[in-house]
Amino acid sequence: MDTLPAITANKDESLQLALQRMLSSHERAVTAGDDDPHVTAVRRLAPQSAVYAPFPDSLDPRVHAAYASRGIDQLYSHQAEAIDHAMHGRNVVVVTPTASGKTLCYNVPVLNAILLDPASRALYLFPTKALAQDQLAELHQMAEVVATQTGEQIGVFTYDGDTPQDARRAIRGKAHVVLSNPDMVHAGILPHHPRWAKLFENLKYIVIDELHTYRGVFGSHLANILRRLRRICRHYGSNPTFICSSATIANPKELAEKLTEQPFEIVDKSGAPRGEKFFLFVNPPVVNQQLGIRRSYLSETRRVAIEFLKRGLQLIVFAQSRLSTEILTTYMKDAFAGPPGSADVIRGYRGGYLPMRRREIERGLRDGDVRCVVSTNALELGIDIGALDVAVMAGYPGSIAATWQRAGRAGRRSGRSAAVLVASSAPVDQFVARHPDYFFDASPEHALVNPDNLHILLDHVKCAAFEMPFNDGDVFGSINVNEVLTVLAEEGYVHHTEGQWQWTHESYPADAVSLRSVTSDNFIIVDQTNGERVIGETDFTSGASVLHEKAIYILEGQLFQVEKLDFDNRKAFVRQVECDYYTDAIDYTKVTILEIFAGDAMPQPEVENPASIALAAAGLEKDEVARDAAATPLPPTLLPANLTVSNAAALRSHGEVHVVSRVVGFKKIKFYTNENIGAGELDLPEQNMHTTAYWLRIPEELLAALPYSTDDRRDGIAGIAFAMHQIAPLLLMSDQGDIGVSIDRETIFLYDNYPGGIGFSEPLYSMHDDLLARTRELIAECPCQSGCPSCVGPEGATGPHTKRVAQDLLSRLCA
Amino acid sequence: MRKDLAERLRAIVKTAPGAASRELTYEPDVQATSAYDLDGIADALGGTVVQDGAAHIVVIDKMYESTQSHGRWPIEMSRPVAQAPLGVFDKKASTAPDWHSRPVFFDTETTGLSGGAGTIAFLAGCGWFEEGGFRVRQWLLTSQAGERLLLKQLGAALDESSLLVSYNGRTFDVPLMDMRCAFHRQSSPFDEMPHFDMLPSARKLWSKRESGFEPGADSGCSLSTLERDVLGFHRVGDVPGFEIPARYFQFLRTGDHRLLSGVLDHHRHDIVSLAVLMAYALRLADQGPDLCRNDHEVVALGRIYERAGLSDRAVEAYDRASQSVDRYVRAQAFSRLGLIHRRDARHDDAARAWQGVLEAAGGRRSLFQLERAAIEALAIHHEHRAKDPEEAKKYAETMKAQSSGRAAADASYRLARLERKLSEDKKKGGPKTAPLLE
Repeated sequence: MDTLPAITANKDESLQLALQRMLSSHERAVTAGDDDPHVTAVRRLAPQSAVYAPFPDSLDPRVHAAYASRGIDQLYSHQAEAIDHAMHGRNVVVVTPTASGKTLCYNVPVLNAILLDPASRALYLFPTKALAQDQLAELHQMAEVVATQTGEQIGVFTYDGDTPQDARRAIRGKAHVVLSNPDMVHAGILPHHPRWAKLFENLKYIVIDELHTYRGVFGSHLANILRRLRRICRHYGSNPTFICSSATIANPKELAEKLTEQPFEIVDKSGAPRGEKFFLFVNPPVVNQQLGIRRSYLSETRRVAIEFLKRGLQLIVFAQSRLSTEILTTYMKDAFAGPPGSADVIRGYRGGYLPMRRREIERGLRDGDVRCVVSTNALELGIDIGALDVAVMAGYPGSIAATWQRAGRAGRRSGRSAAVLVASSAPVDQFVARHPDYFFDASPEHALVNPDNLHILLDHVKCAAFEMPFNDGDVFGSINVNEVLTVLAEEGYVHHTEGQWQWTHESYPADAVSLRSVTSDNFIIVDQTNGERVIGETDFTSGASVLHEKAIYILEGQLFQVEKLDFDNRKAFVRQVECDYYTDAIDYTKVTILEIFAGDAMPQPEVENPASIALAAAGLEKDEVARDAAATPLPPTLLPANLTVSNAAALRSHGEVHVVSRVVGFKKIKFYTNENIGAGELDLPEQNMHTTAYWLRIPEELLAALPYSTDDRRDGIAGIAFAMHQIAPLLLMSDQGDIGVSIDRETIFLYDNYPGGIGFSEPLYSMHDDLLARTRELIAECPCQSGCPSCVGPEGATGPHTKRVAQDLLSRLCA
Repeated sequence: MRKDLAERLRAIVKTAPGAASRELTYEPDVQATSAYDLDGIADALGGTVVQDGAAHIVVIDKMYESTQSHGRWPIEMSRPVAQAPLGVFDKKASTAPDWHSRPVFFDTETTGLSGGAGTIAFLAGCGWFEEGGFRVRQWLLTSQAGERLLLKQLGAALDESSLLVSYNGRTFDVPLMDMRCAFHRQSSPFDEMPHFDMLPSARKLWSKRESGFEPGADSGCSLSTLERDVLGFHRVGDVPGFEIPARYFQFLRTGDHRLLSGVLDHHRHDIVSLAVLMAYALRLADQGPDLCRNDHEVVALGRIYERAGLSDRAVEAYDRASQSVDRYVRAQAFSRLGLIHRRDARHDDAARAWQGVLEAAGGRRSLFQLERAAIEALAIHHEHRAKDPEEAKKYAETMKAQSSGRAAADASYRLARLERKLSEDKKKGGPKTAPLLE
């Protein structure tokens, strides 16, 4: 066990020392032609020097003077470009790396507009309250400089759920710049727009920071909030220009245009300087060749992190989930349990910590008091945590964009930094670790949104009707909402009279809409070890799987056991425990096809025949009857007539489905060894949802033609599903949790894990060929013999021939 | 291939959770019918249609003759007079020039309580005294498009007002109307208008009117309960408040005026009651305890005098209340008397008042707070004023027995100090001779 040295004075040298072993290990492996090296890739990203540009001439000299007084006398090229677009009323999205001075891109045009006309207003949107607080400090400083130099008072305020009620009225009157978030705009500003008349009458700019975070459900909601916002602006006679900033994604311009329904200019060549950076991929060594078992990636991450920590460097460790964050925090604290109090320099960080605790950790990182933070993606966004030396990622973050974003949390404008990706045994990780070029050369992912998701659209049409009556023929964004309003009228929400749709309901519709999850509900976690104390919260959807009775709940390394889950009142009562295991929930999911939007062949009769679906066995089903049913070939009449074995390509479809899921039990898993040391059954309410799905149906003939037993075929299909579920989020820009997987006999469903779907199914449908090809590649290239968690799933959970059958099937499907 | 869009939408809308159902006094329906006979509606509601372009509203005027009564109170008796002591209730409002010349009593009925741009006042009403009686004018939105017209007419009526009188208007009606004006990008007629919100005064006077000071006893201060309990006015077939928005929405969809006639009555009663209630409160403040209907009102009036800085009148009211047969009233009155006397350095009177509290409370749980405060005050009194540590010790011992935690620690500390003083007294040969230091 080590004690932690002080922060080193010579960071470049310490970093070089810490990297040395890994760099030479890589070199040796390359020389020896090792086909499974420990360090699979080393890239050196060369330092880049700055490209400058002058402040535009058209800018008010007072703005220039204010920045000059803070030592900023010229701009980076991308800043000048973005400012020019914004000043000319062209919507612009700026795509540049972390710490490249993107805030200046929007603060300059905003300050300029306010100095030219003090009535001008700007609205800034941040995905989180914490980010708004961060920006507030910077804007305050600029406003103070401007006030000293020119005597002009510029009011800058945050307006969010934390703003005291009695301060709100003053802010509405005084704020030139309002820093808020989509949730507050949705529920607190738009429904009260008359109080904000001054803002809406004079709104010159809308700034959307971290644009790339608005994808999926959240993005689809934001698109509708912006439809409402622009509608209100029209009412008050303003037409604001959008300034957006985004991390690197494949389609920033398209995303901005989809969210705002406005044309955009893009600025994506950074003129900011950058220090030298090393990017390494580490693949934990195989410890059991036959089973394809590698050393635990969490332990490996711990080793890597310790190398840096013990040389006096400051680092951030990213974990994939709340659970692994807590496990890693525990491991790291264990490693440095030196003198009393020293463990406090290693902290965990994730959603569900109370805000006070989070702010304290952020401050500690900036001050250098916190030496290592283990975080979920909560720290991926631009919260100011200072310039750290190293970012270690425990597991592939799931997308190229997120990986760069996390790697960017380490690094300064000059000086060396490093990012290390430690691959887990998850298929995607193995794919990326073995194909570094895929990561370094490929374009990052597309951010997808579906503003026209009917669930989301309906919610926001209600909110919009509440805010202001619709007139006949009004459009909502690009949508003609007559049909939506007609249905709302049938249910009494609105009333159509004299060419107008008036809100005729007592409710406050914004309250019923949660932008970030399926419901606005959450569970709170009450620790009753000493009296009762709320220690955290969990969103409704994951409540059942992490807070079921007997579950181990982990908070910064401290273990709690759930004693009682009060599902109706959304409370989990926990008590501190000492134990050497954690728990992992088992869920059961069943998908029923409701409607097919498109498909290569459409097995209609099956859709209409619930009996066949009821008989079908899903992935974890052990029912023998169901197995037998699966073995029985379908009657010929149910098969598309033109299908023969020779053209038996996979049948791909996408459409609407009904998904029922339920947490049925849990496993107890030992720390460090990950042994399964027990299990339990649970009886929790099931969750229902209508959503969209892509599915792949493997033709019966093709299956029948394979020389395998029924069980083996079944295993093969499960193996393909397992691998596809890993590959799909790679192709979409999504988290694995955004997509659910379910098997129904010879059909594999990948469904949107949100009611109504958020637009993943159609892209998967059109990427079908690529999806299958990459899935095939993943399995074929895995060095294990007969299947492992890195390709078709762990041995034990799958059968002995899974890998072979899956490969066989895929080679035929891809033919 | 896709399901009909409307059908899909319907499926989603229908799954939205509905409000808990309550028993209604009308038949609810969300079907819209096109028949909408504006003139017929106006006739049936006893009003007239006012139009401005496409906008239309119905205005209903009703005169209450001077000779009529509202509950126990003749309308004429409620006419405001210059010497009425409005300042006792609201200093700021009473400084409005000639406030009594034309106070306008204002109330709205709205489409919801949640606020926001989607909540509107579909019915606004003003009442004022004029030659021959009290007039109530109501403006009803027969369509949301008539709102600008309503605001214009309302603004004109308010122009002549010397004081706005409302019931909870400060937090509800006025901000709502301000919001509606802002919605139409107009300035609000309520800006800068002197305003007397009757609700806080009514709460002070009557929230404990029936059941005294027993825990949790609060008889409610809605206008309709006050007019019944205080004014003796009983509504017949009143529309429950929670139904009002839904009734209005259904009226909009169907044009069925029968849904609204009860709402209009309800609204009009609120305005008349407000005027009469205010007059009664002013008369009470003017004439003092003699006019009070019961001892609770006497104590409450004392509190109002006290807050208004009228100590003598407060003491007079409390002295009266301290004769009450109701121990809750007595305890309250004595306790206030104790505080006033102590503040004015009448220490012996204060001590007698606190003794009165102890007598009245008699160990009742619900009066425990008052009793404890009185015991503490007596302990302090005897230690520092009467210089009688022996007596003070008795109270301090009771305090210690009754309390826990920090209060108990304080009591122990006090006791220890008293013991010390007593032993010093003994050394020096008896109490009340030696100078005591704290």
